[in-house]
Amino acid sequence: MAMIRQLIKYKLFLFGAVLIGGTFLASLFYFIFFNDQIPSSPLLYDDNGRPLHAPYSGIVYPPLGTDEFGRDIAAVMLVGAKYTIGAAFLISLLRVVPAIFIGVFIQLYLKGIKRPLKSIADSLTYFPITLLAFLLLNWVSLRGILFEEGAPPSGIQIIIYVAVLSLIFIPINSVLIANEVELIYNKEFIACSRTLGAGKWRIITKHIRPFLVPQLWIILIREFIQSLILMSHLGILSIFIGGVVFKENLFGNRAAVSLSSEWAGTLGMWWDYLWTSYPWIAFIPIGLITLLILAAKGMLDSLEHLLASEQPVQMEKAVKEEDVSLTHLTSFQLLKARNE
Amino acid sequence: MAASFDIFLRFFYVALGLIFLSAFVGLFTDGFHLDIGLFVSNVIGILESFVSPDELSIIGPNGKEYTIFLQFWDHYFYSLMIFLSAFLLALGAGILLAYITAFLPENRFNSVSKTVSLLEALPDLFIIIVIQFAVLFYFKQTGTLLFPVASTGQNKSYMLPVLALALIPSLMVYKVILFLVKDELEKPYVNLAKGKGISKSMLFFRHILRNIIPSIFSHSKSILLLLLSSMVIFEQIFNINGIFTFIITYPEPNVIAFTLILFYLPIFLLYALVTLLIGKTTGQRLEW
Repeated sequence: MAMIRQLIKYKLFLFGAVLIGGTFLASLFYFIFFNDQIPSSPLLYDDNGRPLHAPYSGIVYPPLGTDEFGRDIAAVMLVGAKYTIGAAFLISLLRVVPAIFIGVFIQLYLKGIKRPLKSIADSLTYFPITLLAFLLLNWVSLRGILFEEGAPPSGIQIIIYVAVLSLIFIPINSVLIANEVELIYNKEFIACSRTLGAGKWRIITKHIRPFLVPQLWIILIREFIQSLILMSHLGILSIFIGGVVFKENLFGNRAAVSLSSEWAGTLGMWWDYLWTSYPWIAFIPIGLITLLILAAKGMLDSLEHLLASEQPVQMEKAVKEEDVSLTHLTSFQLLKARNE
Repeated sequence: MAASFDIFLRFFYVALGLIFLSAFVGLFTDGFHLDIGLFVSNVIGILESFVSPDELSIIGPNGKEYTIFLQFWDHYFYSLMIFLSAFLLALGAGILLAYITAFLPENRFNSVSKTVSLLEALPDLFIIIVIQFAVLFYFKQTGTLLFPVASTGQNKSYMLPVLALALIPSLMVYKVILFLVKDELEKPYVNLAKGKGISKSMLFFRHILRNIIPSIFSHSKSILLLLLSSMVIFEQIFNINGIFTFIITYPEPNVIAFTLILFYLPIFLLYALVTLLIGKTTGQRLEW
């Protein structure tokens, strides 16, 4: 609690938290009160009464214009926000929470085989994560595209998506947390309390936990950013959360549409608008994701700054108090003599 | 001797991990089969194809089997070229930027490092879209194409992908070096050197850089990770006919394992060489 009160003083943290939380809540409210309805624009006409063809720009159809189906882009983005933020948050939780238990377990009981474990987890570094996630998820979406019928239902697709994106990071995070625990475990006061008879359980809950928890917050926010980036990569490779449906656009062509209108999927869907005369459409989802990532990064930086400044400040104070008492000494006076 | 054996063992572990991962990916090719037997046979298949590389084959568009070596080396060296140039460019640019800003007064230094820390979080896709749009916009306005935006069969584009790929990593390198330099500047030897009248560039490149190279080196792994992941997307967007596009088109377990181990090899050699060099010249043992 005290940590949060201190964090709120950081403008960047406040800004990030309000932006992410506010977007999520707004999207949720839209779901509750408007049932995620996406308004479609009617056919619009120019000044001479000739029909314009979609996509409309933000000037003709404020605030953000429409896509090729005449759907209001602002509404699409608002609907997708909760899936994007929710999925990224869920994925980062699932990456970190199991890793905590595995990491602590490795450090306490499997110390002997930590090195080989670490090296094998290392190999994940050289298997590009985007590629791995793509190969593991391709069968879900490929089926969706090839034989629309055979694809697993949308709910199961979401579960598979979240599970794959979180499970492949658990080994790396476990090793990371095991290292973190080792750092804390090697501190002097742990040796102290062990000689006084503290068991492993007491050391974990009473001594390691207070040091580990702030680190876990940092890891969690970092994972949030990483999963957003990974999701956007998968969007480019046309793997969308919740699968795709095929829809006829205004020209009568069938095109793949992300079912959940989640940002990463929309990003992949709309990327090619960059080469058309409507390039702004391509910028909207990537711009929003960038904003989300910057907000999270602002929170991360404030948190890191707070944690870095906390401990040294206390130590400096202690040193200074001592200094004050020392200044009363004349030069070359023995310290012991002070007590006499 | 023990050290070089250690290095070799590391390569062995990573290769083993890559083989297991590729065999695991093989369980997902059509539908998901959680089948230990299939996994084991995948591992055996991968090992067999390493012994006799002729078995590394793909099914072409006409349904016939081809050996992968028809175009493989082309793809491989193209990707490797882009990857290594981006990596080295990021390192070089990061060091240069750090040199320019290292001796700024403290409040300016802090604001620079804060800004860089935020910018470094920009997703690579955002950078790509801005760069592609800028080139396109310039082309529309003036009619001259600064760089080829996407590769075609005959015309391989190097410049733009390398620049775009290196941008974020160079900011990361820059930030890491900035922090390391800040610590280093408080050490007594810097004061001594300044007192002796050594010039700033001499101080930075000769003394500070030499002391922080081991730390830069240990941080560089996270940059590799980022670069590798970005590579996959870059190949897609810039239409680069590289090794990762090859894997995406032909996701056979043995092809994946072979390709990734082959891609890891030069990275491993580079790291092993640098470790040996630094170990010889400074006596420091690097952790990576």
